[in-house]
Amino acid sequence: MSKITVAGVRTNVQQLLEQSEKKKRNFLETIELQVGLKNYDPQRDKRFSGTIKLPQVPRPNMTICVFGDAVDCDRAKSAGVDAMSVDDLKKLNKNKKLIKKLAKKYNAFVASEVLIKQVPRLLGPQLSKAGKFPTPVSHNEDLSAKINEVKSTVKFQLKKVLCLAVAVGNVEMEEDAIVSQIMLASNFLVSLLKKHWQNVGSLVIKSSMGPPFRIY
Amino acid sequence: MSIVQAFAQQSFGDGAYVVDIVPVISHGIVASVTDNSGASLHLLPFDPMALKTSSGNLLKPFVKTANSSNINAITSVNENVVAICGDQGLKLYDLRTSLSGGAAVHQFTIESNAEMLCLASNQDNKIAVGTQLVSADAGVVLWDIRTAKQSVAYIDSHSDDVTDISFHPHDNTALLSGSVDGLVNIYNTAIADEDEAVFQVINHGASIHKARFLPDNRILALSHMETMSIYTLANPDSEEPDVKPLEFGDIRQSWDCDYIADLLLSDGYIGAGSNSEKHEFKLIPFNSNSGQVDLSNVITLGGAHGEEVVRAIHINHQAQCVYTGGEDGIVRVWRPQDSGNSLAAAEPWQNVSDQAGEAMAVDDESEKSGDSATKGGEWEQVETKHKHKHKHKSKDKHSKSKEKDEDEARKLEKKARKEKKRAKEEAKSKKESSKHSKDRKEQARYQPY
Repeated sequence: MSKITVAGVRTNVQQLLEQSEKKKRNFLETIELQVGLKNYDPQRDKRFSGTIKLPQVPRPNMTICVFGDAVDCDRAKSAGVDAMSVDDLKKLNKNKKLIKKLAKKYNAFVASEVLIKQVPRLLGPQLSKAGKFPTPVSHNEDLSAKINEVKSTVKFQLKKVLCLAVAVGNVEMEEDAIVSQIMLASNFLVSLLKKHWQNVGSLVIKSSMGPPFRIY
Repeated sequence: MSIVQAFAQQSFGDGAYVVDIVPVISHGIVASVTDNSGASLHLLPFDPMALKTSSGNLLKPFVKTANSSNINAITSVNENVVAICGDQGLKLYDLRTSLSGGAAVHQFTIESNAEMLCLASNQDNKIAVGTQLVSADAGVVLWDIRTAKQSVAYIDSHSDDVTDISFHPHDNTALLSGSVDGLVNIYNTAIADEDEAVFQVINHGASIHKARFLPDNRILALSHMETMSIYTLANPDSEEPDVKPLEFGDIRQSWDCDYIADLLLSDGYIGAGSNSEKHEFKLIPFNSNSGQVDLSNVITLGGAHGEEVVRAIHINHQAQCVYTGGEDGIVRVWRPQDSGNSLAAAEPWQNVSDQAGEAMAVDDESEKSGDSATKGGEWEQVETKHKHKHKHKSKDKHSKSKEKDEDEARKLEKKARKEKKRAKEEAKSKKESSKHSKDRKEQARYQPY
């Protein structure tokens, strides 16, 4: 059973948005969900890290590049997404500097199914090292939908401190959408904890520059 | 569905976790235990009766780490040797000497002093470990045990902690590693240059808990989000798109469990547990060849470890019992109610030795550890169900010559089991009809001793 209610979360979201409205920032503030854990031993208990796919993209400004065959390069162009062909990748000539630069330029990569198995050979381990190995896309899948999926997948990871944070939205989103993303993310994270709500010390939401609001 | 009952248990005290249990053929089951003061290794007997009747001497560790240091993974290298890894590096213990206090026979460390999280060994005397992320490097490092030298090290292919590592069951140079970064990398360890050695990268999309090679060159990946998929080994030279991965999605709902504890591929099972709304542990038959699970023939360990998570399972076909270790610091032994046949339900993946060391220690030598608790006849039959690949290399010749006999013996054994099963079923149905129709489920769930 969830220990947080839509109504309770909504009140906090309203306050958070109000604060953010009061003092507009020069960038799009992200809303973060922070989970404080208890009775959890990061040294001995199961590792707690992973990804959540949210219904809406929390960070719309993420940049994506497609490594495509002819079909996918065309699809990428018509969707207004940067694309590179096998030849473009070959031109990098396995040059570590150029590959690192490429990895830095984009937040994530998507690659055609036929091409993805060549990526290790063409680019070596540099993309993996940057944590940006491409996600495969097949011709049967809608490329834009795939890109959206990649953008809306958020990572979380518990390191040695008993606290983890995950981006759930931004201040430009609808109140309803924010509330539902928070509910979804909280309940999913809690479901993965070994003793569920018994492991949750606190749940806090916070915009990039704003004050924290405790929802549990 | 068959239900198995707790038969005996051994507790390592409050605050202890039994992190892993690994059979070491000539000696018994090694339990890796951590508590507030550090980590330790204990030897438990294969025989459930011996575990039941033994007094406190089992609780005495034969290896104990320094204060607050840990053992992250353990595997049996051969019938006498276990390897452990943690923040103190990789250590090998020979139980012939370690049980009487002997020190580690080998010790390996890496320059960065990164904590080692997982390890695997193969028949070619290689040992591989995966490390934690230190600055920008998360390493996969291999040693040759005979020469005690590092053979290769890959440090660029993951961007986060390496959580699982496993050799190919037949090809000693093929290795895979899984990481928190969501990738499963497949290496050809004959190549030292990392740029060339990475054969394939699988983007599973979520932090990897376990990854294994399956027959037909397929790869199973299980994430910490409890999502599971089976991928096909790619051929980078082919223009054809690869076979679509077989996606199981989040298996918690479809398999009605809270978590997956381990993949017992050589036994033909996946071990899944529930510790919140209900307390049970299930051995779900899994066919590595077809990639299919059989939810109608699940073996249930009723009550499991209560609301604590089960961390380790070892199926002992010889003694027809299941060992489990949990975060309550307890090792439990489970036996089928109608002893004998439930564990033979699934087809084990016979010709493959198990890298992680969960393979059952069915070897004639382990017979020594057995005792009169089991009927003589049964021992003789089951004993032959033996995995020659699991043995140390020097013994291979010997075991191969025996292979033929074994096969026949196996057939006989199967036959005998079938007959026994039939007989038991008859007996059971008689009993049941005479007995009050008490709820079988409740019967099965009675608490362990």
